[in-house]
Amino acid sequence: MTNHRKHPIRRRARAVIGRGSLAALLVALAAGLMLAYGAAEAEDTVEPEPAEQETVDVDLPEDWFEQGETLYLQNCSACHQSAGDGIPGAFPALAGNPFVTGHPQGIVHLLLNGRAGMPAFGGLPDEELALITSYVRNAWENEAHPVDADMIATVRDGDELDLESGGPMERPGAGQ
Amino acid sequence: MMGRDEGTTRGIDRRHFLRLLGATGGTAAVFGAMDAWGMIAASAAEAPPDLEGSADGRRVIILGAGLAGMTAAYELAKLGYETPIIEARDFAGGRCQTARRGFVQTEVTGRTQRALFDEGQHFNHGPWRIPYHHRSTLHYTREFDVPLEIMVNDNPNAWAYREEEDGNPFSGERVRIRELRADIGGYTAELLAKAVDQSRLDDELTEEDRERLIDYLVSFGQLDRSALEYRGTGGRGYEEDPGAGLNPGVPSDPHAFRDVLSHGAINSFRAIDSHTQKNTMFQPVGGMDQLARGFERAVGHMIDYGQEVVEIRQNDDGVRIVVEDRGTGETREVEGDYCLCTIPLSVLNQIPSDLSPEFSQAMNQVTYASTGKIGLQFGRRFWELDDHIYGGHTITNLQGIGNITYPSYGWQEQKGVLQGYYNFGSDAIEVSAMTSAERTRFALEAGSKIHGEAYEREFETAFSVAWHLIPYSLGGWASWSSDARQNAYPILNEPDGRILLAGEHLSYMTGWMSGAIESAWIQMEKIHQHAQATATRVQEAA
Ligand SMILES: Cc1cc2nc3c(=O)[nH]c(=O)nc-3n(C[C@H](O)[C@H](O)[C@H](O)COP(=O)(O)OP(=O)(O)OC[C@H]3O[C@@H](n4cnc5c(N)ncnc54)[C@H](O)[C@@H]3O)c2cc1C
Repeated sequence: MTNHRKHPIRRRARAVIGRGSLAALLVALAAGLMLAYGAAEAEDTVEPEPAEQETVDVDLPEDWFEQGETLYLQNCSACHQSAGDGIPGAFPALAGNPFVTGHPQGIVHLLLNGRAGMPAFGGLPDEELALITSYVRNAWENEAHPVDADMIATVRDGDELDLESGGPMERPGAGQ
Repeated sequence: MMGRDEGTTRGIDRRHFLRLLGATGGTAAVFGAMDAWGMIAASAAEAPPDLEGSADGRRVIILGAGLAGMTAAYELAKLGYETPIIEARDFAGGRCQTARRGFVQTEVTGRTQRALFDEGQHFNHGPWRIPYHHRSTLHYTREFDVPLEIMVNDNPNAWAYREEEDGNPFSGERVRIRELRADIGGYTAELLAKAVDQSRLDDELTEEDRERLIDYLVSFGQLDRSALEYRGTGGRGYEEDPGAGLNPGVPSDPHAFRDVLSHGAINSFRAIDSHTQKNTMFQPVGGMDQLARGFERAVGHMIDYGQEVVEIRQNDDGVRIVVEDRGTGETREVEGDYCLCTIPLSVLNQIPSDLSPEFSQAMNQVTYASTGKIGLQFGRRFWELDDHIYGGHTITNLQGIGNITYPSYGWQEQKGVLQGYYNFGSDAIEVSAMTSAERTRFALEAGSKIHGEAYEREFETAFSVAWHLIPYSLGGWASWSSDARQNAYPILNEPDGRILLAGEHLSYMTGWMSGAIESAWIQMEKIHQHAQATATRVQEAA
């Protein structure tokens, strides 16, 4: 169950995020959103341009991926399935979903507030939401910037995440 | 106690206040305020709208044979409308369903369960209670001769159980709810009575107020009149019940005040039960689906079962619904003048349609509650025989369990089906990730902590539901944030071209059958008005 857990010693994970053009990113985001929730006929996805590198510090425990997986299995897998492939017609796949790996603002907002039938998970603590978000952005074949509790708090407060991009990126330090 | 700003609230009467709110904050503000006051969260409508005029050959395609869809069909047909109902399931009622022997349920995960309860047993895995003030629901139970019985929604003789926990005086222990209620009420009354008696609240009270308040507290808390002390009371139960002959009974001692204060269950006690949970509470005899069967007797001939809506189209003149036969996989088109769509928004937002972008966006603002229940059949009613619990709920803090509810039917029969958990949110999601066998195990282990080994020994068969995984529902009920209530909800109550929505999601009684029924009443009236207006125009032109 979702008891509050003690987090092991934190380590600063250094993440490198790709910096694509903002326009391309927005198109990818919009397409991802449609794929994820809402429009039945998604439009062609436009790949973001090849990226420069941007480095952002995130504050996550060393075993964030494993912790994230545990929380994912508890809170998400009933619908989105443990392989992240979702259920067609009911719950969108998270694996390979550009909305999931896109700029984190979108997915964090969705987790906090729910959307299109998906319940809100704003009741979970920021640390757990950070682990879940980071996990789904890096599980399966996904690769994207992980997210820490401060970033969750920022979105919770209604503010924009101060990231230029947040698109595809190298997987940071610890992990699979 | 009277607040300091007593003068200002008294200065404005409530009606005037609501009008003021309406002028400044719009209807949403009025509704919000009324909700908060519990004034019209009640189902306000008694009866279907009294409509005049005739349908003039119009055809209203109704999507979904849940309570909203069947209500609209029943009432519109009375006016002469043609109202075919397209229903994906093989049965009518939608969420208003009951599991009994042979009932089959397949989740979107592909996991299938067949209820194996004995003949005569049933489990309301969806709706299960009808509050006395849900007059719209009660209108149709009367109209369709659906017999009702009492659903015991509160039973002080049931247990309050606390999970094992260091430092908790009730750790791993079950106590009767009545003990906690008597003790917390008694001690609180004692404190207050003493404070009043010692003139500590004289700023707030006149001499007369003081006396009356003390009288009330003595009676409420069952205090010793002269000492103003709580020393226990018969209502909390006896060590040994009074009997015949030379058996006066042995009174019970109250728990220590501090211990009672630390029992989390006291935070579920209220001066008065919340609006939707009060007595008198009803249930249809034989299961909640008897209400759906009542409707079905009236409109069943209009329902096309096993037909899934896969596209919703419209133009200025009418609607075109693309329907897939779930048996053959073949698609066909159904045309009409209007469409009344009662498909839950969690499902509807994935169906391709000609709904406007504004409308679709509004639909995306809603979230749906995740919720699950399990019914457990036992070969012996140990809760009645051993614990003297007849209906009502045992309150626990066992995560993923919530309350355990005892059946309000078949009193003193041999077997019975009780509700082993009713969970919500993350708890419901987590439990739903288990296989049905694991869910049963989870429920049995929890219940055994309270009822001992009888819970394992007498167990026979289980049926569980996770509503967020049920096709054509994908959630228990709509849940609106205050933001969405204000920005999205009003849009969805309006027609989008020739398509109108109805269902529990379009009500301030989300998660209640009355919400579905009354929403249908409101939306069908809009259709009828539109049809009348345009019919007149055609006649005038001719
Ligand atoms: C666990 C639980 C407990 C509840 N407890 C209570 C209670 O105690 N008292 C109470 O009053 N209410 C209760 N409710 C709420 C009540 O069940 C609902 O509010 C009500 O039944 C909703 O009716 P509806 O017509 O709006 O929707 P539904 O009953 O969902 O009807 C919609 C219909 O549309 C059909 N449909 C869906 N998709 C398609 C498609 N693509 N093509 C064709 N047809 C489709 C569905 O099969 C269904 O028949 C409870 C609900 C749950 C889940």
